[in-house]
Amino acid sequence: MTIWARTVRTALAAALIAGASTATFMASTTTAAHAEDTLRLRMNGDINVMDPIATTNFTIRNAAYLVYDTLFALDETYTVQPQMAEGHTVSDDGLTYTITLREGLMFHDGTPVTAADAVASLERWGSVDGLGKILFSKMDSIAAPDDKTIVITMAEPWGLVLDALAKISSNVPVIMPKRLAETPASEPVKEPIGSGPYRMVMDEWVPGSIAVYEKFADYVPREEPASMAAGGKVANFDRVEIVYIPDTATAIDALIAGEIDWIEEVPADMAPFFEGVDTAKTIVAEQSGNSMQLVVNHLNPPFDNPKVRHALQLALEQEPFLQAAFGDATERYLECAAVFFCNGPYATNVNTDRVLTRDVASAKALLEEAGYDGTPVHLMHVTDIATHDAYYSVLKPLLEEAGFVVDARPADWATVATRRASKAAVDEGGWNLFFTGWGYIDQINPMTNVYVAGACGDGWFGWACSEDLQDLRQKFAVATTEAEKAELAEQMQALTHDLVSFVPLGQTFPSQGLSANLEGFLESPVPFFWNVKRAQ
Amino acid sequence: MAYIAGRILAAVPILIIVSVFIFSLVHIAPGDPAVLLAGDNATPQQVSEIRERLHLDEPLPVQFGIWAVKALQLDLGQSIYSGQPVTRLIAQRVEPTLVLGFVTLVLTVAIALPLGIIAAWKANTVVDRAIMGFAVLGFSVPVFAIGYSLVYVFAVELRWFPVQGYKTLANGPLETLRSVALPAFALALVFAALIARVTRAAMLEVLNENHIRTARAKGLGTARILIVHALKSAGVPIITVIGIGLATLIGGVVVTESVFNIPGIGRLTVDAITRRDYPVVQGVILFFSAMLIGVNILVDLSYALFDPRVRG
Amino acid sequence: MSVTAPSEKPAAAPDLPRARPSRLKVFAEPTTLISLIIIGGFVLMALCAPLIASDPIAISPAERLDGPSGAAPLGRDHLGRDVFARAVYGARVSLSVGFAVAALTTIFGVAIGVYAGMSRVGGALVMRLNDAMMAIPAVLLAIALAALFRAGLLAVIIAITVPEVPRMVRLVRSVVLGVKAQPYVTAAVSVGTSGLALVFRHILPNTLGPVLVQATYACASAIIASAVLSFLGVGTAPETPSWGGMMADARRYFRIHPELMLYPGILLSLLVLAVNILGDRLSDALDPRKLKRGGL
Repeated sequence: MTIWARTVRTALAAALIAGASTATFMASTTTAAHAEDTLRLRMNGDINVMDPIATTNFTIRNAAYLVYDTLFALDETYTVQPQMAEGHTVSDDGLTYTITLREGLMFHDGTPVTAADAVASLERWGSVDGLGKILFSKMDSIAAPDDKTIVITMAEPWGLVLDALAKISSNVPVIMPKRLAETPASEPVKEPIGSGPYRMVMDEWVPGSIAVYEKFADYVPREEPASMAAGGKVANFDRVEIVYIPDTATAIDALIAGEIDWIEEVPADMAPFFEGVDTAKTIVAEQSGNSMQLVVNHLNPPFDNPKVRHALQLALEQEPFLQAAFGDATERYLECAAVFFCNGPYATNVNTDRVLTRDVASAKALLEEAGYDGTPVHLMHVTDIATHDAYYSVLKPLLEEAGFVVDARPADWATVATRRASKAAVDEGGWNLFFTGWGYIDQINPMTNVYVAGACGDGWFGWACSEDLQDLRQKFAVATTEAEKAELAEQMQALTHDLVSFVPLGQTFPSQGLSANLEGFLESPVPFFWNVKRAQ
Repeated sequence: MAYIAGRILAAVPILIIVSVFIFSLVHIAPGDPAVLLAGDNATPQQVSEIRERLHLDEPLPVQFGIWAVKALQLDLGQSIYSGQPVTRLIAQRVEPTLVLGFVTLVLTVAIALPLGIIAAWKANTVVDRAIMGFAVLGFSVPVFAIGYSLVYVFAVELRWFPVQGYKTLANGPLETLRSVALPAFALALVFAALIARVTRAAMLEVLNENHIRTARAKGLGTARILIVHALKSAGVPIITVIGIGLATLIGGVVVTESVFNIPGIGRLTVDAITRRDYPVVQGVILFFSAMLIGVNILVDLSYALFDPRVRG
Repeated sequence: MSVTAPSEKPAAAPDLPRARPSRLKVFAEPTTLISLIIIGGFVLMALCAPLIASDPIAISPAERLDGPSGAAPLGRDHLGRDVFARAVYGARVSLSVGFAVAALTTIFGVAIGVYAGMSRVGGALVMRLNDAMMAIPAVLLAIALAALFRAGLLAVIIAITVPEVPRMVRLVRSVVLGVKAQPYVTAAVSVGTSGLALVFRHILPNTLGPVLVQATYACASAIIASAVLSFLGVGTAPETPSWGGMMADARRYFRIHPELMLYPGILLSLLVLAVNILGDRLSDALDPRKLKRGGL
């Protein structure tokens, strides 16, 4: 053996030993460094703006609940409770609402919360939110006679004033300083200043990767125990990080490894990841879950033609979509074409046959009648939410079989959530279709369900247009008996499916992934992170 | 000095052409940035206001001029997606990419040089064939497949390393090293394959040269000849390839950052491209190009260190 | 993406007379033969796909992630598609991308490269542009091109070809400059041989070897690059069966069904390996300059 060979051997051996010992050493330092006082969350999307008024995006909404507070809030029985408000009085004629703010409310910039801030915030919210718009259309005036008092004077009596102010999902009527609330609602505010339990750390915000929140020392929680959005919002973690991990499988592995604490949605077929794992678990979202929809843009051809929309409706059926997304986990979904959910108070079967029954021959005939020329139908395909891929792969062959030409453009959810606002033609950045989901709480109420507004260009994305629907909603707003409301809701559903405002793809009960050492999660359709703590 | 200045000056027109090219590319691609920027609930009037504010209604050359003047003042505009200055987005993400690149480079050299030298020494034997076989295999497997396999074995099963993410140096260098270990190793396997081949070739060439034969004749030990004489002479081509390989490395970094969820510039680029975040795409590609050109200049300069002939 | 030398030096003059029969010996070497057989096998598989496999696009959500069965010998993916069928059809995408990129790179690279070598002023201009193109990291350029324009096979091919061409241009030009400096060529010029004749009689034949080698490497790296594009979600449409797309889909289930990533991964690596080895053998036999190359 030559000297050289010996040298090489010794060197190699040394390198191996060094490498192995480094690896062991590094391995021994694992998890110990995992700071116990940081809560790490993985939402479905990324935080790209901090303004829950400028977007209905649920990820932004969820994050907003850390930063912002609301005047009123729903408790777990869906009853309105005061949150920032100390209390309120209603005049005998039912027209004047006087709301007082509780003591000690402070914005993150160090200024106290005043009634003028609340008024400006509500006005901004009322300029974009569906329910907010109705509230303001029935309102005579809203004013702040002093720093603690907000006076709302209605032009006509309306039973839903407090329900509107306690709206739990997008857009949430959050309160921010007046100087920020003066930003036009279409433009996201640049500074996320609220009066909630956590303060956003702007310096550490890396769009596309992480948003960091610190416990706000000056937040004074209510004394009542936490109950859904109501009660005391006690922040048990010094720091909350919303980590964006686009790949769901990676996120679940990270959860199991203890790198993150919570995942908003675990796709059904990834449930086996948790088998034999004691560091993390899944919990089914018991708050009646979501519904999935295919949203149709009524402005762009070919779906500006009612016949083509009807053909779209007939070309689809729910089962393959649900199976693709949930597989054998039948307890996690429900075939349902009721506009207001199949287990909501306004559930009805009126006019659902055309949605639930697939009829390719009629769809083809309708397309022919409408003179559909094979213009590709542009789907904004979301790549970072696992179920969307499944839905897309089902949608395409079903549509093609009926004679549609489909063109999908992949993008992440935040991009689709932004791009869906475009009313432009398809080749100028516009779109025809996208998938989305809405929660139980948003959809069961005809006043907040975006698909029954019929509000044309002023409405939610898709811009379905129907004066009859608008009339029905106005009537519903002032209806007093439940029978009357149910009757109106039934008519709304019939009209909505005639109009093909959207195509419902079924109701689902997704599950969340959760670190096993966390406790105190609140029952809620919106995930809240106060009250949560690490078990000792 | 004149040589250095010349090299830097020569980079200027290249950067200008790159800018023009990237600028035209993103502006002829379909999709209106103003509509994207306007966001939810925008009225046509707001869109046209934005178009005006961003000078999107001007002819392309004018737009380019405006962009270039700002770029010279280090203002690369604002992200459509997040509204943040592009320079801030890049600055935030430099550290992970640099650390990943540096660790990869160190690992690569540590793997590739010995392999290349051994292969050259044992040229045309089974050892040589095995090493070169590994090298060809190294760039025949996509880096993301290597990445996922490493995650599965070393993070998910063995729990030695984190599954994803990056820990900043502020958390302590050890944590940082742990967080980039797997991605750097995945990348190094591919990159080392390339460097090992070049090292072998360069060594073989040198081993046949006269001064090595002389050294052998003088009875110097094999180890000494290989390491002192041959490696020194083979330094230039090896460094050259490490420099050029940087382009390959950047490509690899883009992919690995996605696999390991590392918030570096690579992921910023991919995200910006799929989001059609034009100002960021422009800024980041310009940044990478400038870096590539800069490294090539450094490589050229380092010839002087290894090869005295260039100095003259 | 392949890599060539940074600063342009004229190539060492090709000292061998062209088309020497001994060069053909390369095809008799066992490794070359094995590579060719593997590549041939894949071509056959791609051509005969409809005969050996069922529909690769048909979904069957009820059978999602099912194990191997008579109808789907390699099991089914997360949408219940036949993995075997997708793997077989996937060869089509990989091979078409590989061959198309190699061919397009050769055509454009040789044309521009010869021009750059022959024309003094135009050549300098072309080489400036070329340098600039090479300053953009190839993968980034490919991602940008594929993402910004309509997704599809053609977009993928163009996106990968564009960053590949400048390398070929540089290679061809250096060969041309080398040939031009040869005494017999200067002699030919002095007796008034036209430029065109010069190109066809002396220059093109000399570029043949290096170009063939470079094209082979381009083919290999294009196959990997197309997989990378699919992986990043900017490749061919998601339902198109491609190995990269299959691997991208499979990463979600890697933990419970690693074989879903393994099958396409092995096929892809085998094909790329065969092409790379072929490139190496060709390089040994044909290219005196011993091209340096890299991969992704």
